[in-house]
Amino acid sequence: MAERLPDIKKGDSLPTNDDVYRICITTDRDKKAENIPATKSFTLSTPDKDDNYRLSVDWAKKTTPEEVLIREGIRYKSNTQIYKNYLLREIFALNVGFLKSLSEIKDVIYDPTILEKFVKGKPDNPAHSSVLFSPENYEQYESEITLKIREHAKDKFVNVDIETVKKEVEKLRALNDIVSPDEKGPI
Amino acid sequence: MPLTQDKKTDYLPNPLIYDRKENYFLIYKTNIEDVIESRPEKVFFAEHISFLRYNKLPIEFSIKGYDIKLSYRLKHIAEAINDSKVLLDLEEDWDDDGANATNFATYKNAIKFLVNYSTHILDEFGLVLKKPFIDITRDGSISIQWDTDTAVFLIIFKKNKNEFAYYYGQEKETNSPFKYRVKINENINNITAEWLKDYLT
Repeated sequence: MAERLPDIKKGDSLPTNDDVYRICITTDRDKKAENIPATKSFTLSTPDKDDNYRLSVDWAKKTTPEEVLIREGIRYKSNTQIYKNYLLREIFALNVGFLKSLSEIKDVIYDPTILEKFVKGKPDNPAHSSVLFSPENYEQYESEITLKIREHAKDKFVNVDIETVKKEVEKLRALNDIVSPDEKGPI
Repeated sequence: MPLTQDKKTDYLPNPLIYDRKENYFLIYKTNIEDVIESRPEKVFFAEHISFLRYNKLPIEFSIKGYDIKLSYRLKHIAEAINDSKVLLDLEEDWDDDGANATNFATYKNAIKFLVNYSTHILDEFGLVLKKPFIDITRDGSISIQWDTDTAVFLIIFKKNKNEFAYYYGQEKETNSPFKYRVKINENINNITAEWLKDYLT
């Protein structure tokens, strides 16, 4: 029997017992360094800061690790029509309760991205959620919070069936290329 | 005449110096550029020593015109710096997710910190800072990070900010936190240097 999901709407706080998935970029250089995930994956970019200091994650209750990477594989790089290299990604789980225990994190909210119409390279993400950082003094606490999140994530590497992901990405990219802009996309 | 291990240091002419900590001689014949690495238990004869010179030359290199000089004891620091040069080549959106490129001024601030502190700790305390990992953060700042058996430490040099760099360290046995900041243009902050010396050497 399928697990009944809690009645959570966009903007609601996620349950503390749940996990969220963070996609981490992992180059060969990162792999050579010990104790990945690379710390940088838990820092905010300028666009993240402009968007109210939010870090994108996926709510584990609403997705599988494979789906996380599949969506990444059919998403365009920003302002291009080039697909992201999903093979340079790894997934780490973060516990919502842990994140909320950090004083600089205001909340972890459900924040799904569902577009009205299909847009090629921008798949819907019903699992999308946001970790909301406090904008005050981010520069001063960034080292501490980044290191603490990385320490927490270190032992929470999520295994992914990459062959399944590759097959699905290939299939969906092909479908994306023939779908009419007015139609709903494959994912 | 063979040298005994105890007498080697006294016997060898300057600048041939026996490195007690590393416990070996790194020597080469200056006239033929032939590098010879020898263990101290090997026998040296006085007549050989006259044309052997200890390789304690500083490591010197340059990145985009910024000259870096490190003691030969800090070879691993030089390697970490050299390995990090690729960060300067990353373009906007290097993570396909909106991450920003860095710039040379920010990178230089970080490298200067590493060179200054590793040199200070070696010169003042005779200790060698462990190899760090130099990386970029998603807003184009540069980070230097250590994760050793005894502690973790992360300092971030913010892009286009030249006043302070903030850091956080934590000792692993007691989880004691250590957070503060360094002035970018300050040569050495003694509190910071003491902590690095105590936990990251």
